[in-house]
This record gives sequence, structure tokens and C-alpha cells, in this order.
Amino acid sequence: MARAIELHDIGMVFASRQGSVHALDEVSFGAEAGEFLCIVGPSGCGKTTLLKILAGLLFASTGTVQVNGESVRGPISNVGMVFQSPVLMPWRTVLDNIMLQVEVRNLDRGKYRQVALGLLQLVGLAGFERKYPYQLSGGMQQRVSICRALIHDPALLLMDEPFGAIDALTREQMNLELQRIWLDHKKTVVFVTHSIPEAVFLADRVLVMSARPGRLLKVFDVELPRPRTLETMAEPRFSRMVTHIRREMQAHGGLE
Amino acid sequence: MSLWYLVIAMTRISDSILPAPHQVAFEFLDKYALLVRHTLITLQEVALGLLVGVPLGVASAVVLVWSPALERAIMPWVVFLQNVPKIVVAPLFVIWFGFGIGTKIVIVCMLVIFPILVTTIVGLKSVEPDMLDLIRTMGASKWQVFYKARLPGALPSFFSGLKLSATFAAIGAIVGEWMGADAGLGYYLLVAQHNVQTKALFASIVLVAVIGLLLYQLAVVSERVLLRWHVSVREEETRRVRA
Ligand SMILES: Nc1ncnc2c1ncn2[C@@H]1O[C@H](COP(=O)(O)OP(=O)(O)OP(=O)(O)O)[C@@H](O)[C@H]1O
Ligand SMILES: [Mg+2]
Repeated sequence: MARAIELHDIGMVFASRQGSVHALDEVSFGAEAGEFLCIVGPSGCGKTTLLKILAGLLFASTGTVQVNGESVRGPISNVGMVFQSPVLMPWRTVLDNIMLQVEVRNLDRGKYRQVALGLLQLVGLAGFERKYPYQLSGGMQQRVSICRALIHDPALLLMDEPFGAIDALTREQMNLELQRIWLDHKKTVVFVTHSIPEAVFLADRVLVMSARPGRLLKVFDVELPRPRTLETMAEPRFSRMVTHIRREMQAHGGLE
Repeated sequence: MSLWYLVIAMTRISDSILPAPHQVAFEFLDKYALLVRHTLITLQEVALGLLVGVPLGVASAVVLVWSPALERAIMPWVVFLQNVPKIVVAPLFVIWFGFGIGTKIVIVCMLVIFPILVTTIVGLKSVEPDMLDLIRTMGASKWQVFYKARLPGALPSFFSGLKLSATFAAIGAIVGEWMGADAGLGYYLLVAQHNVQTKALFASIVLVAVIGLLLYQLAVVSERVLLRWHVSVREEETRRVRA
């Protein structure tokens, strides 16, 4: 069977009137179906760009992208995407923002309404379905956008610092929930984060990127057993791994 | 109002030059039926002009945003035409469309379309790039992108255009009537001027202003209902709650 994703020699140069920016250089990696990848790297190293290339929203200057063995030539759609900002429609309620995914895909609205309400409960937003985005905090909005990315049960989940605006405690809960959803549904996940502990907690493999132009510095296999719990984070091998990755990043001058 | 009376008292000006407010008020009572008749005619022209012009403006905006090539080709001409004062071309319309209501509607349309077109184009184009990306990952068709993301996002901008148009529309109808008409407030203004009926002039000016105000308020109210989610409406509501 073809790999779920496969990037080969991806390079990206943004050309503009002010000059060009070399964002990515020779990035190659792949993932088997059901694998959980985390990407860490300094700000501006091209993580968002990489996710967008993977989703077919941007075209790489060089290299090839394959999803399920097929070359990506335009936006892929069997995907759930969480952007760095919530990207909610201000004129839609929380529930209707989630249902956008269902409407555009022409899925059964009655059935997915229940799914949406269940997801809202899961992320701690039960009772907020009729609120508008402006009535929610930044972290709450981001959780709505996570529900929207999950509702259609996509095979591939691309998440760009989804928990960046969420407090530490809620963040731990969200990490546990995400792991549970992933264990239940075996999605392929590419997850960008600035937090090394978060990456180690969630990932099968952690990809460390260099400062711009973003290169893949090193890949760490995380062999902690699943399901990981809050106790896992207290284990010596967990902190060893975190320290290890942090050293790797420091060595290349890119601290979070 | 008191300033008005003060000026009259100080200058002892004749009421055929500057009538006092209460005299204008009496004029309303006196000529009630006549004024209503002319007002309704002008109102009808304005309303029909808006009913044709606003959808036309929105439709043109949609077409131009849909096809950037068309926009590049046509927009310069639209701007050029906009810079020809409407009053100059009005006589031409009389030749083309006659002295009937058609000419008035066309002139109102012309005044109304430009603000609607420009503001709606800006609105349709101001969707966040990430929002467009997001909806594309849902496999949205071009049409879905349009009515799920662009159209609702364009509403705030469209409403600023509508409010501008509402205030311009009455001018169009009056100018149309000046070109030739046998009824309407513009016609009534000319007759009053001819007979030096200052009170009647003032009464018609008030009525023209009222029409403009009425339409503007109509736009404001529909905006408030449709745009509860928008910052501008929300801020106003919070201010009202605090007050
Ligand atoms: N559309 C664009 N046009 C020009 N340059 C761009 C564009 N998008 C991104 N860049 C540049 O590419 C580089 C990588 O940007 P990107 O957003 O991928 O970084 P990032 O790793 O996601 O950073 P952060 O962690 O701060 O979100 C940056 O230097 C940015 O200036
Ligand atoms: Mg980013």
C-alpha cells in the first residue's frame, strides 16, 4: 500500500517585489497511514508553509508531494485542517461554523449536527453552540476550529499549532483527547507545535527543523507506550527525550 | 430653529424671501393633498430606481469579481463614466427615454450603481486568504466559495454602499424631473420657483430631505438586522446598552 504522505525534496521560494524569501530547502519525509508526526522548529522556519504545501494549497517551487500515492496538484479534500488562527466565519454561530464542513461536503446535516454537539462537549464547549465567535476567547475559538477539522472524520489531519492559544491545563486535556481520538480512529496526523514536551507526548516521530531556510535537521522516534498519560510526562525517559530534542535545536541556534 | 427666527427678527426679511418655520408648517397643512401627491410620485421614482439600480450594481460587482480579466477591461470605463457629471447626460436620457418615469429611473440607477458596485467589489474581495484556503480543503466548488464565504463577507461593505446610494437616489429623481415632468417634487419646486412661492419651495425641500432620510434609515435598520455579528453594529449596540 502507498504511504499516507510522501514529500520529496521540497523547496520553497517566495518571490515578491521586496526580494525573495527562501522558506524551505530539500525537505523530505513521509508517514505511514495512522502515524502521528510532530514538527518543531523556530518561528519563521516554514512549518506553516510546509503544511499548506502538503494540503495542496501552495505549490512547492521544487520537489513532489504525494498523498495516498497520488500526486498533489491542487487542494486535497480528504483532510481536516486546523490553521494557526481559528479562521471562523464571524456571521456563523459556533455550531454553524463547524457545520460548514458538513454543508460544503453535502453530508447529512441532521446526523452530523449530533456529531458536532458531541465534539463541542469533548473540547469543553458544551452550551456554546449558539454563540458567535466574537463571544468566545481566542483559545475557545481555536477549539471550535478543531471540531470543524474533525467532524467529517478525515483520514489525514493537519494541525498548525492548534493549542498555541490555550492555557496549560486545558492544553493537557486537549492533548489527551487528541490522542484518544487518534487511537480510536487511526488518522494520519501532522502536528506543528512550539512545545517540545507536547511534541514528545503526542508523536510517534518528532521532526526537528532548522531556522530559515527550513531544513529537516533530525527525526526522533518516540517509543513511549500508548496510551500516554499525564504520568508519562513525569517519566525519566520522557524528559530525556525532551532534553535531547531541545539540545538539537539549541545546537542549530533555533530556540522556541 | 431659534436661529432661524432670530435671523428673521433681526433682518425683518420679507416672508416671500425667508418664511418663518411656522409659516412653512402651515404650508404643509394647507397644501397637504398636493404635497403628498407630488411626494409619492418622487418616492416612486426613487424606489424603482433603487430596486433596479441596487441589484444591477451587486450583479455587476459579482461578475467583475468572478472574472478579473473583465474587471481590468471594464472598471476603467466605469470610473470614466462616473466622472461625467450625471446632470450633463440627463438631457440625453430625455431624448432616449422620453419625459416619462423611465428617464427618472435611469438617472436614479446611474447615481446608485457606482457606490454599490465599488463597495460590493471591495467586500467580495476581502475574504481572509486562510478562509479561502480552509473552504478549499473542504472540496468547495467555486460557487460554494462564493456564496458561503464571499457573499456574506461582502455584506458590511455593501451596506456602506447602500447608505450612500440611499442619499444619492433622491437627487437623481429631482434632476430627472427638472429635465421635464408634470408631477413630482422636482416639478413642484420649479413651479414654486416660477411663482416665487417661497413657502412651497421650503416645504418641498423639507420633503426631499425626508425622502433621503427615510431611505437612509431603511438601510440602517436592515443593516442592523442582517449584520448583528459585525463589529460596527455590535459597537453601536453596546453603546446603546450603556447609555
Ligand atoms: N505568502 C508569502 N509570501 C512571502 N513570504 C512568505 C509567505 N508565507 C510565508 N512567507 C515567508 O516564509 C517563511 C516561513 O513562513 P511560515 O509561515 O511557514 O513560518 P512558520 O514556521 O509557520 O512560523 P511560525 O512558527 O512563526 O508560525 C517566513 O520567513 C515568511 O516570511
Ligand atoms: Mg506558522
